[in-house]
Amino acid sequence: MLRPREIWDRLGPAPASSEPERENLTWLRRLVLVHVAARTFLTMPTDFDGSVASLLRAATIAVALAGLAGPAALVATRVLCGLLVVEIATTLPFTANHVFLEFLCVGILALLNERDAGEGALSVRALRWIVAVFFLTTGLQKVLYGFWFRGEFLAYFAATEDRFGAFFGPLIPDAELARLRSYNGPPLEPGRYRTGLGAGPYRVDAPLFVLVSNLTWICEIVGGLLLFHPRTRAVAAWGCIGFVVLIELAARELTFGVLISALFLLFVPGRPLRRFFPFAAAFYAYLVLHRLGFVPFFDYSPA
Amino acid sequence: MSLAKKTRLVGWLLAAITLWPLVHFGLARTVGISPWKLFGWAMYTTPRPRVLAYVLEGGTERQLPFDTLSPARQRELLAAYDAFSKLRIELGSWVEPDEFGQLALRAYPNVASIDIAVERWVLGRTSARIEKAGPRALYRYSR
Repeated sequence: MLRPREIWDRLGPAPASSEPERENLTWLRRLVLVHVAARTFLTMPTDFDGSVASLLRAATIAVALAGLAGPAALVATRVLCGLLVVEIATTLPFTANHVFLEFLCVGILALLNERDAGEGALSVRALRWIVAVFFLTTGLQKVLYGFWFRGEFLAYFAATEDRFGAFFGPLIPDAELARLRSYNGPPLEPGRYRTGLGAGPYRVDAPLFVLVSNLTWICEIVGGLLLFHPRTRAVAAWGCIGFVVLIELAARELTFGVLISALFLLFVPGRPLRRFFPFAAAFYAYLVLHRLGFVPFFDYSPA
Repeated sequence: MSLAKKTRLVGWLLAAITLWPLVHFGLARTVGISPWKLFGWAMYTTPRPRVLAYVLEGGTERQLPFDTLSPARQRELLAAYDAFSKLRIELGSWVEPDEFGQLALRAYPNVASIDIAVERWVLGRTSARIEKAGPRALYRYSR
C-alpha cells in the first residue's frame, strides 16, 4: 500500500524532465481562459443592465480573452482568479459545482507559473490530484447516498427529465417507463417535471438498466483510482474521457464536458492539449454563435 | 513566495478539497444541505430535495387562508416564501423562515401568533418514493 507521499511523488514528473507536461499546462491555461469566457457568456442573462453582476461578467469575459495574448496569460489568470472569488462569493450557496472546479484550476494556474520547472511540476501534480479526487469522489458519493444500486436515481431522472429519458428510456421497458412518467406532475420548465408526495416507487425491473446504473459509480471509482498510478493513468484518462462523453450524451453539460476532458488529457503523455485546444476553442465559438442566434444547435445545459 | 511556501499552500488546499466531500456528506445527512451544491461533488447522487412551508395559526394545525389576502400581500408572501425555500433547499436547517414568518404575522393581524411548518421532501432510500424527510420543523412568530 503506497503512502500518500509516494502517491504524490508518482503523480507527476520531476522538474528537470517536466517540459512536455509544462507545455501542456500552457495550452490548458489558454483553454481554461476560453472556457471561463465562454461559460460566463453562455450563462449570462440576455439583457446587459449595468448592474454590478453584469459588469462583473463583462470583466470576466474581457480578462479571460485578454489572457490569450501570450505575455498577458499569467496576469490575466491572476485577475480572473480574483473575479471568480467574487463570483463565487456573490452566488453562494447557489454556485454550480462546475464553477468551483474552474476556480480550482484557475487558482492553481494563477499561483504557479509553468515556465518555472519547479512550479510547473507542482502544478501538474496539483491539477492531476484535483481531477482524480473529483472523479473518485463523485463515485464514492453515489455509494454513500445509495440511489444507484437499484437504479433509483436514474429511474427518477429518466421519468422527470426528458434529456435523460431520451438516453436511458430505451433501457427501460415501455410499461415501466410509462408507470414512472405517470407520477409526474406539472412541468417546472420545458422537459422537466415536478413530482408530488408519495410518487414512486422509482425502481424498475430492467437488469440492463440496473447494471448501467451500477457501472456508473464503479467506473468513477475505478477510473479515479487508476489515474493515480503511473502505469495505468494514460489508459484511465482515455477511459474517463469516453465515460464523460457518454454521460454528456444524457446530461448535455457540454462546457463542463470539454473542461473535464481537457483536465483528463493532463494524464496523457506527450502534448495532447496542444492538439485538443483548437477543437475546444472552435466548439466554444460555435456555442457562442448559437447563443447569438446565428447557428442551430440542440438544447443543452450551458453551465 | 518561494516554491517551498507554494508547495505547502497547495498541500493544504488539496487536503481540504479531498476531505471536504466527507464533511459535506455529513452535513447533508444532519443539517440537510443540498448534495447538489457547496462543492461536495455529490451532484447526481439523489434528486434535488423540495422544501415546502405552511402558515398555521400558532399552536394549532389550522392552515391560514391565502386567498383572502390582498393581491399585494399575496405577492409579498410568495416572494418571501420563494426566497426562503430556495435557501433552505441549499443550506438545510441553517436557514430559518424569519422574514417569511414576520411577513405572515403582519398579513394575519387577527391571530396572536403563527407557526411556519417546514417540510423537506426527498427520495426515500427504502421506499424509493418521494417522502417527507423526518418530522416537520416548526417556527413560531408572536406579536
